[in-house]
Amino acid sequence: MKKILVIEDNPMVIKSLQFKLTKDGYDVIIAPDGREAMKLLKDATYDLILTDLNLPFVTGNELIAYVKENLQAIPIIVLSTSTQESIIMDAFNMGVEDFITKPFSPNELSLRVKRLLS
Amino acid sequence: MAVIHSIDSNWLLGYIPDDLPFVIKTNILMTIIFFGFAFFFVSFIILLRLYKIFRNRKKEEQRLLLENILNSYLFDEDFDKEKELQRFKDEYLNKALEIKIAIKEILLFHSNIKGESAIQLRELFLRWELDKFCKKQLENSAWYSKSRALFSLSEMLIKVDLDIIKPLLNHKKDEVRQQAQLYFIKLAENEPLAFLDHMDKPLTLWEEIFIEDALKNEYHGPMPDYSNWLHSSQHSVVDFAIRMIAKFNQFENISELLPLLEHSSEEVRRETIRSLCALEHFEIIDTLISQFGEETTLVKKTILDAIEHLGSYNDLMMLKDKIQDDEWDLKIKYYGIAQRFLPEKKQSIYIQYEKEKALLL
Repeated sequence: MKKILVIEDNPMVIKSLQFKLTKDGYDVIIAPDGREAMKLLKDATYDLILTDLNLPFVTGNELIAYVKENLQAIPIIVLSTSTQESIIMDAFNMGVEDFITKPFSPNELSLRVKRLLS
Repeated sequence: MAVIHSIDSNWLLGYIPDDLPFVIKTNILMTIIFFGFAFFFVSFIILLRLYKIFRNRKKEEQRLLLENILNSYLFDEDFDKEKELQRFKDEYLNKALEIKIAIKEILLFHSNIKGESAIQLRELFLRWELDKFCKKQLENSAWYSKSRALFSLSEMLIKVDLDIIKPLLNHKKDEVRQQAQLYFIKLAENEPLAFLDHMDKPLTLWEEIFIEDALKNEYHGPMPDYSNWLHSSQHSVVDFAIRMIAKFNQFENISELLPLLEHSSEEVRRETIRSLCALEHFEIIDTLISQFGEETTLVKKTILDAIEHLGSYNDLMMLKDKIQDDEWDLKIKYYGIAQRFLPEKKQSIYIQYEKEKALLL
């Protein structure tokens, strides 16, 4: 079973993502903030990271930089409320594989996850 | 004293020994009464606290139930929608508090997701008849419930008889008026500002900001022709329409704006000048120069700004003699603009200003 690390601080979004991705057949691990995510990334390996950008303690950008430097193989999807072009461009320049803006379509997200993990 | 004697005659003083002096008896009595009040007061606070804890626990339980059923409804293909949703409605959507939490939770989901799932949430809102609850609140409730109901209905794009909404456009509470305006904009197909014709109260600055924001983000039809409101009896509506003409570059309405340079309201005249300036209508300079002498100080300042933006140093010079000796604000502004027109003569303009000042003082 493919393992997805979801880094998100909105409880409603966490629950929905967990529900949807588990239903799709993935093992979903939740980190409510960037610091917790760093710990989890050091302890285990993941097939995909789904992360917000505005996170407590360690920001999404710091986390992406860490992953792209140390764990290059893990694809990253950013799920953010930001629609600012510069922020989206920055994320892609840092090497993220996909960027989804909130409010998001769960079905679309599911397809994008599936595409990256296939 | 009358109170003490009436208590005395009944029972309270019977517990106090008779041989004590009157002052001591009174002190004891007052102490007992004070402790009685304190006891009731503390008990009341504890009861309120317990009620709040119970209510919060109930809310949290209801929220978790809703979170589960909403996730199942949206993402679980094996979920028996007909049966489960009806069962939930029968069991958990009976009291007002339960319904309010359901509305709040659905709106929370709705604000975070889009696409097919958002449509499903709207269907669920209707299936659970939460719209009926909101409509009822529009008619009989306190202002904050009305405001919340309007917000819920507009977020879910549920149409309500406009005769119910129209009176709320003139509600005494700003929040209700604002939500009623947003309701009209969000549900409009082609006339998002039709509600302005029904308004008796002036638009507040916040309302204007919210309307502008809603027009940009929530309304997807053709942009309205703002000249329709240039002759409204509400000066705040006229101001808003003038500003929007400039904001949305409605150059075709310039000819409609020009007569407003002679409007009775000072604020409308200022807004007209600013908007014509933003639309870069250079032809107004001559009119502004000829009008300058008869204008109020605030309008004169706006004209000076307009000359700086659209005109030349020669245009500015034509205003010099029209500024009265005691209009120091205008003189300072005039020389400031002159320095910006001729930066190379900054020092000589300053000296000229100082000379004029010395002469007048």
